Amino acid sequence: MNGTIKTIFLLVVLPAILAEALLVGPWVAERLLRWGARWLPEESRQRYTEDWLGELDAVPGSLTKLGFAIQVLLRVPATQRALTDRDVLWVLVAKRLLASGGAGLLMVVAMVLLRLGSQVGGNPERARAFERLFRQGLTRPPRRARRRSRSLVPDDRPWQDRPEFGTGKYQRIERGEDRDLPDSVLGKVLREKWLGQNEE
Amino acid sequence: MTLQTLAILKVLLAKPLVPRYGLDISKEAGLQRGTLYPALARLEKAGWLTSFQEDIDESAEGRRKRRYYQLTGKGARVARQVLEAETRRLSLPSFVPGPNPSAAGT
Repeated sequence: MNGTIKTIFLLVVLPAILAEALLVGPWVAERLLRWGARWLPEESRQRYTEDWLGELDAVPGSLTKLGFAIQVLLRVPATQRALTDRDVLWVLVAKRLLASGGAGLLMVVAMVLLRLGSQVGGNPERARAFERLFRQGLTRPPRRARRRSRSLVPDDRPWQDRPEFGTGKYQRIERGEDRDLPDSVLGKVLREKWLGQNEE
Repeated sequence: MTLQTLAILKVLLAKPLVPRYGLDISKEAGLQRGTLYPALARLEKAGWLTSFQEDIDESAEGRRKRRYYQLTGKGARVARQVLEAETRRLSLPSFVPGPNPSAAGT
């Protein structure tokens, strides 16, 4: 029984699938190229669709046409970068995920949901606004990197001008109530030993 | 400059006055078809290449119009300089391994 099924598959189903693939290959290739061109900047879409379809006609063979379309599709991000000096959105997403892991994933999921929501709602203007926001968020360095860069660059501004001004600590410094060392038992000992400040 | 770009320039510089279309260039340069278009877009943006769509009757020819690429005057000049520089760089004597002194005594 098992052998019969295998024989039917090899003699009937597989050739039928292959024949179908050969028939629909050029159609799929054309669809893929048109879809790939949609990722390019608006002013170049028409041109590249025509160019690629023109080249597709010069490729012989059904499966070769499909191969050509896949090759072009894989290089669409590079073409987009060459045309605009900007990354395609999903390349930005991948970079962001690699750079900031879990937090990045949460942000990406939230933004994708918002983007999809606005698309489903049929509001293209809002969808574009979300995309701009999304792109901004993705190109901004992760918070960890921003913190690190702040600590590496010495801040020469007077403390009143620093972004932290206004927090409780700086308000206490301003009133002369805060000390550099913590107000704990250890802090008191250290103040006595190192700074010669006597609490009593 | 990437090797792909150099290969494209070499093909176009071989016959600078003859316009070539994408597949023709990729075949002669030995490049994968996908890698061609980003490089062509960069070169065209830099003003090294110019392109035009052929003027044919699609139904009579039985195929769609192709885009042809050709080096501009500036492109041909700079491409020649770049290719010469690269050829010089790649044929530097430092790339040829020298005689092994330890092997001389044996």
